Amino acid sequence: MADTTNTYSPEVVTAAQFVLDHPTLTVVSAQATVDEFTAWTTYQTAAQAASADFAAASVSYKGSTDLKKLQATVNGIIAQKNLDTTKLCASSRASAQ
Amino acid sequence: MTHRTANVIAICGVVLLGGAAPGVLAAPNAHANQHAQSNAGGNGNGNGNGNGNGGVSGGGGKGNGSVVHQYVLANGLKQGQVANQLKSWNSLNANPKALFNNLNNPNSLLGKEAAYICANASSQTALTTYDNLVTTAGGDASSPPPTDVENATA
Repeated sequence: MADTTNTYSPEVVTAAQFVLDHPTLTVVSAQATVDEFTAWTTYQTAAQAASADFAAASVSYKGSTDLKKLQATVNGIIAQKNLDTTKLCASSRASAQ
Repeated sequence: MTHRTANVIAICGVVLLGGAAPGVLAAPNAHANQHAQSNAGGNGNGNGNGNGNGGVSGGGGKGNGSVVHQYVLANGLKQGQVANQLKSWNSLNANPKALFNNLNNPNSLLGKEAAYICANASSQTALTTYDNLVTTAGGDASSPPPTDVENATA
Protein backbone atom coordinates (compact mmCIF):
# COMPACT_ATOMS: atom_id res chain seq x y z
CA MET A 1 0.00 0.00 0.00
CA ALA A 2 1.35 3.40 -0.93
CA ASP A 3 2.16 5.73 1.91
CA THR A 4 0.07 8.86 1.44
CA THR A 5 0.44 10.10 5.00
CA ASN A 6 2.28 13.24 4.02
CA THR A 7 0.46 13.95 0.80
CA TYR A 8 -1.88 16.90 1.10
CA SER A 9 -3.40 19.17 -1.46
CA PRO A 10 -2.42 22.86 -1.42
CA GLU A 11 -5.96 23.72 -0.30
CA VAL A 12 -5.70 21.48 2.75
CA VAL A 13 -2.31 22.91 3.63
CA THR A 14 -3.68 26.44 3.33
CA ALA A 15 -6.66 25.54 5.49
CA ALA A 16 -4.44 23.94 8.11
CA GLN A 17 -2.23 27.01 8.21
CA PHE A 18 -5.27 29.20 8.57
CA VAL A 19 -6.61 27.19 11.49
CA LEU A 20 -3.22 27.38 13.19
CA ASP A 21 -3.22 31.15 12.74
CA HIS A 22 -6.73 31.46 14.18
CA PRO A 23 -6.97 29.27 17.28
CA THR A 24 -10.37 30.70 18.23
CA LEU A 25 -11.95 29.37 15.07
CA THR A 26 -14.89 27.09 15.75
CA VAL A 27 -17.06 24.92 13.57
CA VAL A 28 -19.99 27.24 14.24
CA SER A 29 -18.12 30.39 13.29
CA ALA A 30 -16.66 28.74 10.22
CA GLN A 31 -20.11 27.56 9.14
CA ALA A 32 -21.53 31.03 9.69
CA THR A 33 -18.87 32.48 7.45
CA VAL A 34 -19.44 29.93 4.73
CA ASP A 35 -23.14 30.80 4.95
CA GLU A 36 -22.29 34.49 4.56
CA PHE A 37 -20.09 33.72 1.59
CA THR A 38 -22.82 31.67 -0.04
CA ALA A 39 -25.41 34.38 0.61
CA TRP A 40 -23.11 37.02 -0.83
CA THR A 41 -22.45 35.10 -4.02
CA THR A 42 -26.17 34.42 -4.35
CA TYR A 43 -26.85 38.14 -4.03
CA GLN A 44 -24.16 39.00 -6.55
CA THR A 45 -25.60 36.57 -9.07
CA ALA A 46 -29.10 37.95 -8.53
CA ALA A 47 -27.91 41.55 -8.79
CA GLN A 48 -26.08 40.85 -12.03
CA ALA A 49 -29.16 39.15 -13.44
CA ALA A 50 -31.29 42.14 -12.46
CA SER A 51 -28.86 44.56 -14.09
CA ALA A 52 -28.96 42.53 -17.27
CA ASP A 53 -32.74 42.54 -17.21
CA PHE A 54 -32.79 46.28 -16.67
CA ALA A 55 -30.48 46.84 -19.60
CA ALA A 56 -32.64 44.59 -21.76
CA ALA A 57 -35.74 46.54 -20.80
CA SER A 58 -34.03 49.84 -21.53
CA VAL A 59 -32.49 49.14 -24.92
CA SER A 60 -34.48 51.94 -26.50
CA TYR A 61 -32.70 54.58 -24.42
CA LYS A 62 -30.00 56.56 -26.13
CA GLY A 63 -26.38 56.17 -25.27
CA SER A 64 -26.32 59.40 -23.31
CA THR A 65 -28.89 58.14 -20.86
CA ASP A 66 -27.51 57.52 -17.40
CA LEU A 67 -28.95 54.05 -16.85
CA LYS A 68 -27.69 53.91 -13.26
CA LYS A 69 -29.64 57.05 -12.42
CA LEU A 70 -32.65 55.81 -14.34
CA GLN A 71 -32.49 52.47 -12.51
CA ALA A 72 -32.38 54.24 -9.15
CA THR A 73 -35.49 56.21 -10.09
CA VAL A 74 -37.25 53.10 -11.33
CA ASN A 75 -36.34 51.26 -8.14
CA GLY A 76 -37.72 54.12 -6.07
CA ILE A 77 -41.00 53.99 -7.95
CA ILE A 78 -41.17 50.21 -7.67
CA ALA A 79 -40.72 50.55 -3.92
CA GLN A 80 -43.46 53.18 -3.85
CA LYS A 81 -45.74 50.83 -5.76
CA ASN A 82 -45.40 48.30 -2.94
CA LEU A 83 -45.89 45.32 -5.21
CA ASP A 84 -46.45 41.83 -3.94
CA THR A 85 -43.74 40.35 -6.14
CA THR A 86 -43.94 37.01 -4.39
CA LYS A 87 -47.35 36.58 -5.93
CA LEU A 88 -46.96 38.63 -9.09
CA CYS A 89 -43.68 37.02 -10.11
CA ALA A 90 -44.81 33.47 -9.45
CA SER A 91 -45.67 32.84 -13.08
CA SER A 92 -42.22 34.09 -14.07
CA ARG A 93 -40.48 31.61 -11.81
CA ALA A 94 -42.78 28.84 -12.92
CA SER A 95 -42.08 29.46 -16.57
CA ALA A 96 -38.35 29.73 -15.96
CA GLN A 97 -38.19 26.26 -14.45
CA MET B 1 -17.02 36.45 15.50
CA THR B 2 -16.20 39.83 14.10
CA HIS B 3 -16.95 40.81 10.58
CA ARG B 4 -13.27 41.13 9.86
CA THR B 5 -12.54 37.63 11.02
CA ALA B 6 -15.49 36.41 9.06
CA ASN B 7 -14.09 37.82 5.89
CA VAL B 8 -10.72 36.27 6.49
CA ILE B 9 -12.40 32.94 6.83
CA ALA B 10 -14.54 33.65 3.83
CA ILE B 11 -11.48 34.27 1.71
CA CYS B 12 -9.94 31.11 3.08
CA GLY B 13 -13.21 29.39 2.35
CA VAL B 14 -12.84 30.30 -1.26
CA VAL B 15 -9.53 28.53 -1.27
CA LEU B 16 -10.94 25.57 0.57
CA LEU B 17 -13.85 25.27 -1.77
CA GLY B 18 -11.49 25.50 -4.70
CA GLY B 19 -13.80 28.01 -6.29
CA ALA B 20 -12.69 30.83 -8.48
CA ALA B 21 -14.75 33.62 -7.02
CA PRO B 22 -13.47 36.92 -8.32
CA GLY B 23 -16.66 38.47 -7.07
CA VAL B 24 -15.44 38.24 -3.51
CA LEU B 25 -12.88 40.93 -4.08
CA ALA B 26 -15.39 43.05 -5.93
CA ALA B 27 -17.98 42.61 -3.21
CA PRO B 28 -17.32 45.65 -1.06
CA ASN B 29 -17.87 48.22 -3.75
CA ALA B 30 -20.84 46.37 -5.14
CA HIS B 31 -22.33 46.18 -1.69
CA ALA B 32 -21.71 49.82 -1.00
CA ASN B 33 -23.21 50.74 -4.33
CA GLN B 34 -26.24 48.66 -3.61
CA HIS B 35 -26.83 50.44 -0.36
CA ALA B 36 -26.23 53.76 -2.04
CA GLN B 37 -28.65 52.90 -4.78
CA SER B 38 -31.23 51.87 -2.22
CA ASN B 39 -30.91 55.30 -0.72
CA ALA B 40 -30.89 57.04 -4.06
CA GLY B 41 -34.59 56.54 -4.46
CA GLY B 42 -34.95 58.61 -1.39
CA ASN B 43 -38.46 57.54 -0.58
CA GLY B 44 -38.05 54.10 0.94
CA ASN B 45 -41.53 52.83 1.42
CA GLY B 46 -42.64 56.40 1.29
CA ASN B 47 -46.29 57.03 1.53
CA GLY B 48 -47.27 53.43 1.81
CA ASN B 49 -49.83 54.13 -0.83
CA GLY B 50 -50.53 50.50 -1.50
CA ASN B 51 -50.51 49.04 -4.94
CA GLY B 52 -52.56 49.42 -7.98
CA ASN B 53 -53.08 53.02 -8.91
CA GLY B 54 -55.36 51.78 -11.60
CA GLY B 55 -53.59 53.45 -14.46
CA VAL B 56 -55.12 56.77 -13.60
CA SER B 57 -52.80 58.56 -15.91
CA GLY B 58 -53.30 56.20 -18.77
CA GLY B 59 -49.65 55.30 -18.60
CA GLY B 60 -48.39 58.76 -19.32
CA GLY B 61 -47.24 59.41 -15.79
CA LYS B 62 -49.03 62.73 -15.50
CA GLY B 63 -52.14 61.74 -13.62
CA ASN B 64 -52.41 62.89 -10.05
CA GLY B 65 -53.09 59.35 -8.88
CA SER B 66 -50.19 57.70 -10.67
CA VAL B 67 -47.40 56.08 -8.73
CA VAL B 68 -44.92 58.22 -10.65
CA HIS B 69 -46.74 61.33 -9.53
CA GLN B 70 -46.70 60.11 -5.94
CA TYR B 71 -42.98 59.38 -6.25
CA VAL B 72 -42.47 62.92 -7.54
CA LEU B 73 -44.39 64.39 -4.62
CA ALA B 74 -42.64 62.21 -2.06
CA ASN B 75 -39.22 63.31 -3.28
CA GLY B 76 -39.86 66.94 -4.12
CA LEU B 77 -39.13 66.43 -7.81
CA LYS B 78 -40.64 67.88 -10.96
CA GLN B 79 -43.25 65.74 -12.67
CA GLY B 80 -42.17 66.58 -16.21
CA GLN B 81 -38.52 65.84 -15.61
CA VAL B 82 -39.20 62.48 -14.02
CA ALA B 83 -41.71 61.48 -16.69
CA ASN B 84 -39.25 62.47 -19.42
CA GLN B 85 -36.50 60.50 -17.76
CA LEU B 86 -38.67 57.43 -17.38
CA LYS B 87 -40.03 57.33 -20.93
CA SER B 88 -41.12 53.75 -21.47
CA TRP B 89 -40.72 53.04 -17.76
CA ASN B 90 -43.80 55.22 -17.23
CA SER B 91 -45.57 51.92 -17.73
CA LEU B 92 -44.98 51.49 -14.00
CA ASN B 93 -48.20 53.46 -13.71
CA ALA B 94 -50.07 50.51 -15.13
CA ASN B 95 -52.20 48.27 -13.03
CA PRO B 96 -49.89 45.57 -11.58
CA LYS B 97 -52.00 42.81 -13.03
CA ALA B 98 -51.82 44.30 -16.49
CA LEU B 99 -48.06 44.74 -16.18
CA PHE B 100 -47.28 41.30 -14.87
CA ASN B 101 -49.57 39.56 -17.30
CA ASN B 102 -46.77 40.23 -19.76
CA LEU B 103 -44.33 37.97 -17.92
CA ASN B 104 -45.38 35.22 -20.27
CA ASN B 105 -44.46 37.44 -23.19
CA PRO B 106 -40.78 38.00 -22.46
CA ASN B 107 -40.04 39.59 -25.82
CA SER B 108 -42.42 42.48 -25.22
CA LEU B 109 -41.27 45.66 -23.54
CA LEU B 110 -43.72 45.23 -20.69
CA GLY B 111 -42.58 41.64 -20.32
CA LYS B 112 -38.97 42.77 -20.03
CA GLU B 113 -39.89 45.44 -17.52
CA ALA B 114 -41.87 42.96 -15.44
CA ALA B 115 -38.95 40.54 -15.61
CA TYR B 116 -36.66 43.24 -14.24
CA ILE B 117 -39.04 43.98 -11.38
CA CYS B 118 -39.01 40.31 -10.44
CA ALA B 119 -35.23 40.00 -10.78
CA ASN B 120 -34.76 43.12 -8.69
CA ALA B 121 -37.04 41.71 -6.00
CA SER B 122 -34.99 38.51 -5.94
CA SER B 123 -31.82 40.55 -5.66
CA GLN B 124 -33.19 42.58 -2.76
CA THR B 125 -34.26 39.40 -1.00
CA ALA B 126 -30.78 37.95 -1.43
CA LEU B 127 -29.20 41.13 -0.08
CA THR B 128 -31.49 41.06 2.93
CA THR B 129 -30.53 37.45 3.59
CA TYR B 130 -26.84 38.34 3.46
CA ASP B 131 -27.30 41.40 5.68
CA ASN B 132 -29.23 39.38 8.23
CA LEU B 133 -26.50 36.73 8.35
CA VAL B 134 -23.81 39.34 8.84
CA THR B 135 -25.80 41.14 11.51
CA THR B 136 -26.53 37.87 13.32
CA ALA B 137 -22.83 37.11 13.30
CA GLY B 138 -22.15 40.45 14.95
CA GLY B 139 -20.89 42.20 11.85
CA ASP B 140 -21.93 45.48 10.32
CA ALA B 141 -23.71 44.79 7.07
CA SER B 142 -23.73 48.44 6.06
CA SER B 143 -19.96 48.92 6.17
CA PRO B 144 -17.94 47.49 3.32
CA PRO B 145 -15.81 44.54 4.40
CA PRO B 146 -12.04 44.67 3.80
CA THR B 147 -10.92 43.65 0.37
CA ASP B 148 -7.98 41.48 1.28
CA VAL B 149 -6.52 39.32 3.98
CA GLU B 150 -3.99 41.96 5.02
CA ASN B 151 -6.70 44.46 5.90
CA ALA B 152 -9.01 41.86 7.34
CA THR B 153 -6.49 40.68 9.88
CA ALA B 154 -5.21 44.13 10.78
